Amino acid sequence: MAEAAPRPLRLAHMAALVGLGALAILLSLAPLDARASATPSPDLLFCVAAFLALRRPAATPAILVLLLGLARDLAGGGPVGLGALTLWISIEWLKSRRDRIVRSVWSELLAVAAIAFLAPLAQLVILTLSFANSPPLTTLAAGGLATLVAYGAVALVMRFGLRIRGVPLEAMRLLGRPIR
Amino acid sequence: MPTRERGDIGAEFGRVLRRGALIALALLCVGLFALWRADSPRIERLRMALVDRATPAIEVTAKPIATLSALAADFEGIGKVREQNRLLRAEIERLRIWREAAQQLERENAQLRALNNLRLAPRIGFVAGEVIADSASPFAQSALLNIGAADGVVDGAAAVDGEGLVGRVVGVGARAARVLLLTDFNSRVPVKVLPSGRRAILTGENTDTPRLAFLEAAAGVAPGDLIVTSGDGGVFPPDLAVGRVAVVSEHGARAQVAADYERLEFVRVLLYRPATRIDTPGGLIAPATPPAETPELGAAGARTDG
Repeated sequence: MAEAAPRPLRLAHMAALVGLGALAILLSLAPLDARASATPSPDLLFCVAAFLALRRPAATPAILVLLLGLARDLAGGGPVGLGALTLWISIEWLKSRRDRIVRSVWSELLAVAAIAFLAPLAQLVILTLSFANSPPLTTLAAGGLATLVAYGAVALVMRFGLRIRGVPLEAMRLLGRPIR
Repeated sequence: MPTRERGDIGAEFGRVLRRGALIALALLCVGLFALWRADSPRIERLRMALVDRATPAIEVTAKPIATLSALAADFEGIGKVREQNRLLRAEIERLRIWREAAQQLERENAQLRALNNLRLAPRIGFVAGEVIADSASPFAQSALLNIGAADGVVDGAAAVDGEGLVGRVVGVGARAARVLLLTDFNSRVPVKVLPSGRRAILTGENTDTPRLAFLEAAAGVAPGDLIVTSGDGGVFPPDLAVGRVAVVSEHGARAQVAADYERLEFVRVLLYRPATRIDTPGGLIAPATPPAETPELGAAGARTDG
């Protein structure tokens, strides 16, 4: 399978995923408001991984994404393993539809919004099926909205602050290489 | 070409290896979720082992964010007000410690006066710590403290702030501990409503107002009544302030917790040893059950006997 970027660059992007992912986990743990009614923290790890998955898919290998998700689940207080699995499935879904999603900012935001709201919903369904208590839908919707807003900020920082750009789809097609 | 074939075999082997690792990792996640669901203590130990290693990084990240949050809250006259606020908070914390010590002594005095059989007085020490992280998940309500087993924190201990009970320690690492807040789904605390003395179980439901389940009788309970720990079960000391009754309706009663969850900065973990009733001479010489493995009081520098 051909690679989209040279190996050192790909490794640098993977390092960016690990570094920024760890930072995202630490930032989301910061204690701001412990009330149950407070707006839930945005899923910053998903924002970072999604941005990279859409621009540098080879830099977001499933193993790395799962490990980061697991670290996030363990460091926080939520269901262990469930967050990691939903994060992995979300990122793989984004990667599989990348060529359709990155056509415009709106399609990207729509795809991110769909996952930001559906991933917690999937977790809620699994928790309900396993007879575990779960928060009300309104709380999850607020969290999804926070994630969507945070994605915009994260994308701006990564695009213009860290200068991480996407691999142009047309260029990849002209080169005859599969998009990875 | 042989070289190319070797390369293909190598790439294929790498792919198989990666796929195997991925499947193993996914299965591990499923297994961990099953263990979490079964309330296995292994999960909490795993959590705290990771948190222990990450504590310095969490503290470093939490401090600037906490500062920014404080700046945003005290937007007007940041310079003077913030500093004064910090000093006043420290002073209030000190005074609250004294107030609690006085209340404890008062209660102890009352108990001793009413004593009709010999009982060793319960000892309550405490160790204060800073909240360095929260659960970061809508699925749980917990807080991470920068004190752990090395400071004498034990599993199940009560955590209080200046206003009242915050929650219960559910995970202890060497340098960190996780406190389950009263609002979490898994929180259950035996309480007493005053002045009626009705007993109930304060049950978290991921809302700001936990439910008073199994309330003996709603009659005699009114909004505004004080809720304190009953001490039933011997996990928490009795008479710790928990909050006030917020609502009493046909669907049951709900409580407003006293702890300030909006600005949870410093928390004290109580090192409580239940009162020991001496009812047989044998109990003095050789206890029937081995003592719980708790660190000796006075071992940690930051700890203070209250």
